[in-house]
Amino acid sequence: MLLDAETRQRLARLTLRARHRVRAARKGRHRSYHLGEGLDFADYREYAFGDDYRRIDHHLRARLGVTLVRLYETEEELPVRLVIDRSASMGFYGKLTTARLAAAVVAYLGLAGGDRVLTYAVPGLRGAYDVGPTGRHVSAWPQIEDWLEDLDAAGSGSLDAALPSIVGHRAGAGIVVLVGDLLEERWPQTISGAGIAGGGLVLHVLAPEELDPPLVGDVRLVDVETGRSVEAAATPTELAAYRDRVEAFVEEVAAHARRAGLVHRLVTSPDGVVDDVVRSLVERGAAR
Amino acid sequence: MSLLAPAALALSILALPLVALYMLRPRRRRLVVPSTMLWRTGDTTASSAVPWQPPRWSLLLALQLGILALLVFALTRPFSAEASLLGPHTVIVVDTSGSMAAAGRLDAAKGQALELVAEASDQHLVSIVDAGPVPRVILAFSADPHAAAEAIGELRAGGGVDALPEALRLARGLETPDRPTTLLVLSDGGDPEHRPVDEPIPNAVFLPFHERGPDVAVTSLVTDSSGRRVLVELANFTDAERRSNVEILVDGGLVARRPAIIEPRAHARLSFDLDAPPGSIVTARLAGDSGGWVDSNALDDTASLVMPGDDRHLVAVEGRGSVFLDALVASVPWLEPVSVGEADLTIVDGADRLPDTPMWLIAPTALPDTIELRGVARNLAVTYQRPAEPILDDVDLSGVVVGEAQWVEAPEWLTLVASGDVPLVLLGEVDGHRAVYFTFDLTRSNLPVEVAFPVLGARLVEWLVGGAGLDPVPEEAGAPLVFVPPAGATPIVTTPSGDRVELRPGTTTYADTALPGVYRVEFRLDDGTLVAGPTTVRTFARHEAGTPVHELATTPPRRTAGAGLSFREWAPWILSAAIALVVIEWWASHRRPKAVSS
Repeated sequence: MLLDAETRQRLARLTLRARHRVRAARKGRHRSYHLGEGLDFADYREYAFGDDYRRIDHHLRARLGVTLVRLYETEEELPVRLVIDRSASMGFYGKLTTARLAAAVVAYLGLAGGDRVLTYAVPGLRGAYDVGPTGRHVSAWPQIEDWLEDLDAAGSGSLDAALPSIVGHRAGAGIVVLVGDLLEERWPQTISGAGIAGGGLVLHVLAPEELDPPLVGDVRLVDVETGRSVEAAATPTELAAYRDRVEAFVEEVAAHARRAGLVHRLVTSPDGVVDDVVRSLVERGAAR
Repeated sequence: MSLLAPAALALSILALPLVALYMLRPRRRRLVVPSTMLWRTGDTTASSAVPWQPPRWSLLLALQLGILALLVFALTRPFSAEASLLGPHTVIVVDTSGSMAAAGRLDAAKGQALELVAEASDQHLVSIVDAGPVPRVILAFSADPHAAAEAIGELRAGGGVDALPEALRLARGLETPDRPTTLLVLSDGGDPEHRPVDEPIPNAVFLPFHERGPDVAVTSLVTDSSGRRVLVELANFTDAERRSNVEILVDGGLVARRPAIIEPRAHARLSFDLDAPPGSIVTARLAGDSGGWVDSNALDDTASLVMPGDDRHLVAVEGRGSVFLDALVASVPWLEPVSVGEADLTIVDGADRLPDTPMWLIAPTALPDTIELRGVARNLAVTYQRPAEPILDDVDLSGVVVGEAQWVEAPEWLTLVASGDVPLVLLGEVDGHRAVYFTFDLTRSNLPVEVAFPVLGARLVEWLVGGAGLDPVPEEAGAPLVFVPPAGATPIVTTPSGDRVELRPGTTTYADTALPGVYRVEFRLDDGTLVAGPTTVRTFARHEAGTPVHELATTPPRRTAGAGLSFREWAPWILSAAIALVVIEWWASHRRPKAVSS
C-alpha cells in the first residue's frame, strides 16, 4: 500500500490548481478556455445567429441600442498527466520506490479533486511509453496504486522523446507531472516539453548516494543505460568536485523548470516524501 | 643498543618493491552506476598509458613500511648490555633454612632469583643450590631461564638449620674451568655461632634478606619420664611482651588450651598433664594470637613429639661383665636384666660366643666373620668421632684413653670412634642382628668413668633394639629418617604436609625432612599388606627461630670481558610490536566502507 488511509484522508482535503485555463472535453472544477454555462459573468459579445436569446442583455440593448449577449465562465475538468521515469537508472538506491510514492501523492490529489488523472511510464515495455490506468475519482485509486506498485525499472528511453506524444503541442492541456532523475543529456528538452502543457510539476528523484557517492579508490563507472564507461578516482578533491556538479545540476534543473512554468522539487528518499511533496505544492501554489 | 646481525639491514631493500606496488596504477574496479553524465563533465582522472603514478600518502603504506621496518629490525637481533650480577656461570645459592621462612625472606629471595634468571641469555649458565639442612643441587649448568625459574619456584623453606658451609662447598664443586663462576648467596646469613661459614666467601656476592617481624616460637616440647606430662617451652624473640594461647593436641584432637604471657626476649615454660597413650602424637601450638600482632614465622609455632612406649627389653650380660655395665643397664628404665637365653639383647663382654640376638660385643674373643683381627694396639687416645652422628650427639669422648685394644679391620662396619687408624667403636650387623663392637675392654680404659659413658651406652642400646623406647626428644628438621624395613618391603613415608612418598624397596633412609612435623613410615609387604613402621618427629631448629641475621663477608668475583653484563635481546618485543601493527593494518584495511553497488 503506497498511501495509508490517514494520508489519503489528508490529501483529499487538497486540490490541484492549474496555472492557466484548461482545455478539456468534460466539465470539471477548473476554469476553461470555453465560456458558457457557468455562474460567473465573464464578458459580452454581439449577438450572432444561433445564440441563446435568453442571454441577450435587454438593459444594454435599451440603453445603448446594440444587441449583446452575456458570456459566463465555464468550468472543465483538469487533466493531470503523470509521467514516471522507469528507466534502469531508477532501479538504483531505491529511487523507483521514492518515485512511486511521490507519484502516488500527486495522483491521489488529482483523483480527490475530481481531476482526470492519466498515467504514463517511460520507457514502455514495447514502445516509447506505456499508458497506465486513467481515473476521475478516488474510486480509480486502487487501479492506479496497483499499476504504480507493479512498475519495474528497466530499459532506457528518453522522456524527451515520449513527451510530445503524451502532452501534444497545445497549451492548456492540463498539468504534467514528471517523476524521474532526469539523468540524461536532453533533460532541458524534457522539461520544456512538459512546460508546453501549461504548468505542472517536476519531482526530481535523486538518491543520497548520487548526491554524495561513497566511492573508494579508482573505479571504472559504467552507465547502466548507455553502457558508456568513465574512469574516476574517488579522491576527496574529486568527490567534492562531483558534489558541486550535482548541486549545480539540481539548481539548473530547478531554474529551467521555473522558466517552463513548472514547480520543481528534489525528492531524495521515501521518508517524509508525502509531506515534502504536499508542502512544496502548497507553497508554490500548485495545490490549495 | 647494538646489533647481533647487522647484515639483516640489507632486507630493508624490500621497502622498494613495497613502495613500487603503491606507485603502480591499480586496475580500476568496474562499478555500474545509474548514470555517468555528471562524472563525465568533471575533471576526473583520465586513463593513462603510464602504468605508474606518483606516490600518494596512504595509511596502509605507512603501516606496511612500519611492519617491514620492525621485521628487519628484529632480524638484526638488537640487544642491550646491562650491568648484571650474572656471570658466564652463576651458581645461585638459596638459603631455605627455617629462618628464611620468617617475614617473607624466602619469597623475597625467590623473587630476586627470578629477576636474576630473567636477565639470563644463552650466554649465561645458571646453577641453583638449595641450601637447606641437606644442601642439594636442583639445577646445574642450565642456559634455560624457564628451567631456572621452575627450579626456583620449587624452593620451599623448611624448619632445619641452614647448611651454608656445605652448600658453598657444593657450589664450589660446580665451578667450571672454562667459564668464570660467580656465587650469589641469597640468605639471611644464618647463625654464625652455630654454623660458621669461612668468610670472606671468595668470588661471591651476598644478597642479604634481613626482613624482620615479630616471632614467638615453641622452642621445645618434651615429656617427662612418667609419660604423663609434657613440658612446653616458648620463646619471645621480640622486644615487647607477647600474649598467646598454647594448645595441646593428642593425635590431632585438642585436649588443652592455656594462655601464655612471654616477656620480651625471654622464655616461658608451661606444663600440661596428659593421658596420652604410648605412640600417640602430641602437638603443642600457638593459636589465637592476642594483642593484634602477627607472627612472622608460622613454622616455629608448632612442635610435636611421639609419646614414648613402655616396651621393656630384656638384656643379658654374657662373659666377664662389670659394675659399669650393670650400672648402665640399671640406669635405663626400659631395660630389664635377665639371664642369657631369655634376653632379646645381649652384651658380650669378652666371651667367645656370638649370641643370636642384637649384641654389644666388647673385645670378644670370638670375632664375627666380617671383622679381621690384625693385632693389638696400646695406649690409645680418641682422635676421631664420626661427625653428625646422632649416637654421638653431645657425647664428648676427647678425654677417653684406652690402654689396650684390638686392632681390627672391618671394612663392612661403620667406625664411630677411632684412635688414628685403630677403630675403637664400630656399628654393623652379625647374622642379621645389629651389633656394636668395642675393640677394647671397658676396664682397660677410662670410658666408664667419663660423663659421656651413660649417654653413649644408652644410645647404643637404643640403636641395638631398633629405636623403640628411645629418647623422646625428636631431631631437628633435615635429619634423615632411618628405618629398617622388612626384607623386600617397600617403605612409604607420609610427610607432615600429607604427601605419601613411596621409596624403592629396601631403602632404609629418607632425607627430605626439611619440613618440621610428624613423619610416619609404613612398609608394604610383597603381599600388599601395610605394616606400620616408626613414627618420627622432626622439629623446627632452635637456632633458626627468632629471625637471626648475619652479614656474610665476600670477596667480589673477578670480572672478565663481558662478565657482569646481561645481554637483553629486543627481538621478541619488536616482533610483538610488528604483530600489533599487522593487526592494526588489517583493521585499517577492513574498516573503510565498501564501494556501493546496485
